[in-house]
Formats: sequence, structure tokens, C-alpha cells
Amino acid sequence: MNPIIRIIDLKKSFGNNEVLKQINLDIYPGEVQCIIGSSGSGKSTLLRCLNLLEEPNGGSILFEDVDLLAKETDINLLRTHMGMVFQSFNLFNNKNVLDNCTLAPIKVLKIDKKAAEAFALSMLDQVGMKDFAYQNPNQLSGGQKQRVAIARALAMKPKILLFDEPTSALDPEMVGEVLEVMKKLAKSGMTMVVVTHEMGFAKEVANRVVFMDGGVILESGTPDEIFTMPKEERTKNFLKRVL
Amino acid sequence: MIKKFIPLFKKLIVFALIVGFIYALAPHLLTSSEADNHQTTFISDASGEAMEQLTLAANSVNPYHFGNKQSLTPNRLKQVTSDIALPAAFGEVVITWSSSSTAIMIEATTSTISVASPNGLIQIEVYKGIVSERPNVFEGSKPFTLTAVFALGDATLIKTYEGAVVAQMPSDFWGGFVYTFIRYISLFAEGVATTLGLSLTGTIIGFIIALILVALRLLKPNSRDQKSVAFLKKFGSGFAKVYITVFRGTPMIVQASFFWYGLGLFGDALLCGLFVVSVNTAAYIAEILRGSIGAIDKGQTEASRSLGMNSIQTMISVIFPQSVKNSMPAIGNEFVINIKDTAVLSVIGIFELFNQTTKVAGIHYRQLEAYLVVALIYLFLTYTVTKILQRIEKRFDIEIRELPSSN
Ligand SMILES: Nc1ncnc2c1ncn2[C@@H]1O[C@H](COP(=O)(O)OP(=O)(O)OP(=O)(O)O)[C@@H](O)[C@H]1O
Ligand SMILES: [Mg+2]
Repeated sequence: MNPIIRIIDLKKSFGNNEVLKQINLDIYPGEVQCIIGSSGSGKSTLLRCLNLLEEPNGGSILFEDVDLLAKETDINLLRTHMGMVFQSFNLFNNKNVLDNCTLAPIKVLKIDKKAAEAFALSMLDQVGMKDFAYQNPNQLSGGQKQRVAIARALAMKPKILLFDEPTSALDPEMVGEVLEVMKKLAKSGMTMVVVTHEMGFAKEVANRVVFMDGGVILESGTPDEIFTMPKEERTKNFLKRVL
Repeated sequence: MIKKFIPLFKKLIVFALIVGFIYALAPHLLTSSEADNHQTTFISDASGEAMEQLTLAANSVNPYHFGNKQSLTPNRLKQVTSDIALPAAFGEVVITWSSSSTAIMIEATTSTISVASPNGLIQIEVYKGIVSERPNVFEGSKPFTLTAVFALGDATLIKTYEGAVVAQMPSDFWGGFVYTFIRYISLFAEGVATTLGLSLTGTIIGFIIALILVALRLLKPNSRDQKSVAFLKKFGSGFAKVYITVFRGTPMIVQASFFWYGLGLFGDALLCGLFVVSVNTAAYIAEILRGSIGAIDKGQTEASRSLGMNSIQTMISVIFPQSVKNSMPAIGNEFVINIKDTAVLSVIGIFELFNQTTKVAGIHYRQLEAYLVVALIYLFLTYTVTKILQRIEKRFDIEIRELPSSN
């Protein structure tokens, strides 16, 4: 099976600060990869490079064998295949829950409004937010917002979902509801890349865990390999701190 | 939902009623100061030489101001405030006068006054027309018609003069103040209508131009753009920058003079003035919008772009609606500023409120009263509009911010 995303020798710096140094990583369809690592190790930057919210300085990213960095690539089209869920939800403040979920399907995928709404409602149903379809984002709790954000990403029928610490901004009691939704998605076969500090989630759901440190992937493997017998000293130290 | 708006509607209705009331009442309060053309009728049974002499007399004779001996031109005859003098003869021609109204009573005997003529001061015989009934300020004026019979032997010619006795401006300050306001209320009302129309329309058009400007201003070429696209983006952004700098950096009075006296834009001062207000306001609103766009969380753009929306779709569907909403108080403030700033458009001859006032002040040479009236009208307008905007903002749940004037 071909990887859905293939990252080859990816480099990214902000000015003189080399944040990603030669990253190589393959993501296969149906796989859940969790990226862990200490703050500032470049996890978010890596994820944001995948849909070009950050422009890499070197290397290449292939999405289904299409080179993302090639000039002729229609990046907006590719982005429709890659949903992204942010730490701070980023729901559109000027739109209600349902409109949040139908805006891009209507504008980008050119789906007609009725069909877009019907599909968006079924996605909202999937994350347990159907009853809130006509509320405004500022009326929702953090956990509810994040579930809507997931539904918004799903409404584009993406081939892969990218999560950047989706539960880090949540009150502890709301973390569970979001992780539940993510687990359900994983079970349904959705390909997911999840940057997370929730080690429990990584252990339970991930097919592969990637440990990043100082802009490189220090080691990666099954949750068992990483959590019970990490090879690298730094991985051990990190896990000691967070577990 | 509807219930919430009822108090607002009530206020608006009261405001509309006041404006409508002023408009409806204004024509009754005074005769238009724009004097009609001199209406004369000639009835003559003369012919030949007699006719020529009579016509010359009729065309030459005007009533005089009895006090200062000024000749009362047709316009001045409609603004009579004190006694008038009616010549009893012109060369060989004998003139007899009658008045249609008790406003002017004509004495039966003549008196002698000296008036200026091309040949220096001359003594003439006149009938004194006494102002015997004065209108009060609310009536504004009492019209009268003078009929003059010009006779030369058996031949006669009849001419009529339309005039009006108007209320006299009281000499004290407060009397003059009240008089100025009531007497010229329709002039002020016209000025208010022009000022409000100009500033409201100008703000709306300016807002639309500002949306385009700020969209241009924020264009940024990225590494994927073709050379031509990158150039166009740079050009658009540069144009907007220059536009904003120029229009914010020069006084509106200079802009107005440049576009009207310099370029004669539109061939119509009012349109040209509207243009100036609009393009000027656009520069300010563009900066307001740019500020509020900058204040919107970057996450909004990122979320939108991550869904595959391009930068234009993101701007239109996500960023602009939020920034416009947040800018509403500042944009409303621009409207209030425009109510005041359109006063400079008097320089290109638009009869907005300030220019109307200058006109009023010039009629009696009583500047203090006229400018106090207009100051209060401006204050009333800006205060009322500010209050209305604040109410609307509250309805739409927008934070109210007091902002400094652009001047
Ligand atoms: N836009 C930016 N401009 C400059 N430097 C940046 C920018 N974004 C990230 N960095 C820097 O890049 C480094 C890696 O940041 P990144 O956000 O990828 O780390 P992270 O692993 O996601 O950390 P965290 O767990 O705190 O989210 C940090 O040193 C950060 O300061
Ligand atoms: Mg991060």
C-alpha cells in the first residue's frame, strides 16, 4: 500500500532558527499517528507544513504522490483533502455552528446549500452537536467548540485529519468528550495525525507514535515500543516527565 | 426580537416627525427669501411719443427707502422693513400711487427728499408709504401690491409693483437669535438636509470604496504567484497605500478645491462635493478596517485556508464580516465627523448648512446670532446621530468606543 503522505527530508526555519531538520515520515491510509515531544520541538510546525500553513524551506511532501511544493500544484484543492483541527478551535465567529460547517463545502466544493446542510447536520450528529446547529460559537463550551471544529473538518470529506493538540486548551472535564469523538473517528478508519500531550490516548488509539525532539524525529514505533521500551535517553526522560 | 426594536423605532419616528414638522411648517413661517422676478403689468392707453415717455418713466421709477434713500429694487421691495418713498413725478409724467394692503398706507400729500442720481443728488417729490402693519416673526411677511398710474396729459400707463413688509430683526442679541432661527428656518432646514444627505451618502459610498481599498492594501505576493500576478498585487497594494496617505494627509478643503476649481469634476458642485466626501472618508475607513482586520485572530484565516478557501474567499466570508462588525462604531463616528467636516464644502459653493448660515448672516450683517444658531444645529445633529448610532450598536451588541475626530 502507498502512503497517503510521504515526507522526505523536510526542512523549515524561522529566520536563523532551524525548527525542522530533515524530517522523514510516511503516513499510510487508515493509520493513526501520534506525534509527541516536548514544547518547542517542532510538532506544530511539522503538522502545519503538511497543509502548507507554513512554507517549508527544503525537502518535499507528497500527497498521494502529488508534490505539494511544486508550483503547479493547486494547494487549495489539496487542502480540501486534509482537514485540520486547531488547539484554539478557530470556529468562524461570524457564523453559527451549521454555517461553520457548510461554508467551505458550498464555496470550495460547490455543493448546493441543501445538500451541504444535510451532510453537515449528519457530521454534527456524529460529534453529538446536532442540537446546537443554530447556536453561535460564543454560546458553546470549549469541548463543544472543538467537536464542532471536528465536524467542520469532516464536512469536507477529507482523506486525512490533522490535529494540533486538540485538547490542550480545554478544561480537564471536557477533554474526554473530544477524545471520545476522536476515538470513534479512528475506529471508523479515518487517517489521522495527532499532535498530543494525551499519552493515554496515544497508547490506546495510535498505530504509531512519533517522538520529536529538537526538530528531528528521534524515534518512532508502535505505542508499545515507545512507551514501554524507548531506545533513546531523551525519549525516556520525556516520558518520565509526562507519565 | 421585534419587541427589542420598538423603543428604537419610537425614537426614530419622533426624530422623523420633528424633521417633517419643520419642513411642513417652514413655508408658512416666511416667504421665500429667493425673491420672485419683478412682476409688473403695464396697462396703457397711450401711443406714439406719449407712450415712449410713459414707458421710460415706468421703467425708471422705483420706490425708495424713506430713511436711507436707497432705491428699492424688486428684491428689496420684498424685504421692506420701514417706510418707503414713492416718486410723485418723473419729468413731465405725473405719478399717483395706491396700495392694495393695509401693510403700506400712502400719505395723501407729498414731501421732498434728496436721492442720488447719475447727476448727483436731486430733490424729488414723493408720497410717503407708511408701514402701518408689521408681521410678527411667525408670519414672516405681509405682501402688498403698489399700483402706480403714470399720466401724461390724457394718456396713462399703469404699472404694479409686488412687495412685502417683513418682520424687522430685533436689535438685541436674543431677539435677533430667535428671529434668525425662526425667520430663516427653511434655509437652515435646506442646509441640514444637504449636510445630512452629503455626509450619510458620503459615508456609505466611502465605506464601499474602503472595502476595495483595504482588500487591495492587504494584497501580498507569495512564492507561488506568477510574476504578473505578483506585480499586480504589489501594484494594487501600493496604489491603496498612496491613496490612503494622500487623502488622509491633505485637508478636505484642498481636495474639494482641487477637484472642483481645478478639474471641474462632474460639472456639478454637489456631485463633486459628494465625490470628495466619499473618497476622503474611504481613506479613513480603510485604515479603520485595516486596524480591525489586524486585530482578528490569525486562527480565523488559518482555519479558513485549511478548508481550502482561497485568500479572497477567506477575506469575503470570514475576515471582512467580522472586521466590519467590529468597526461599526468607528464607521458611525466617521458619519458624525462628516456632518461637521462637510462644512468645508461651502468653499465650492454647495449650500450645505454652513453656507446657508453665511447667507443668512449676510442678509442682516448679524454674524453672532446666525453662527450661534448654526452651532446649536450642528450640536443637535451630531448629538442626536451619535445617540441613534449608540442605540443601533447596542441592539447589535457591539461594544461602543469613543473615537477621536479625524481633524
Ligand atoms: N511563526 C513563527 N515564527 C517564528 N518562530 C516560530 C514560529 N512558529 C514557531 N516558531 C518557533 O519554532 C519552534 C517550534 O515551534 P512549534 O510550535 O512547532 O513547537 P511545538 O512542538 O508545537 O511546541 P508546543 O508543544 O509548545 O506546541 C519554537 O522555537 C517556536 O518558537
Ligand atoms: Mg504546538
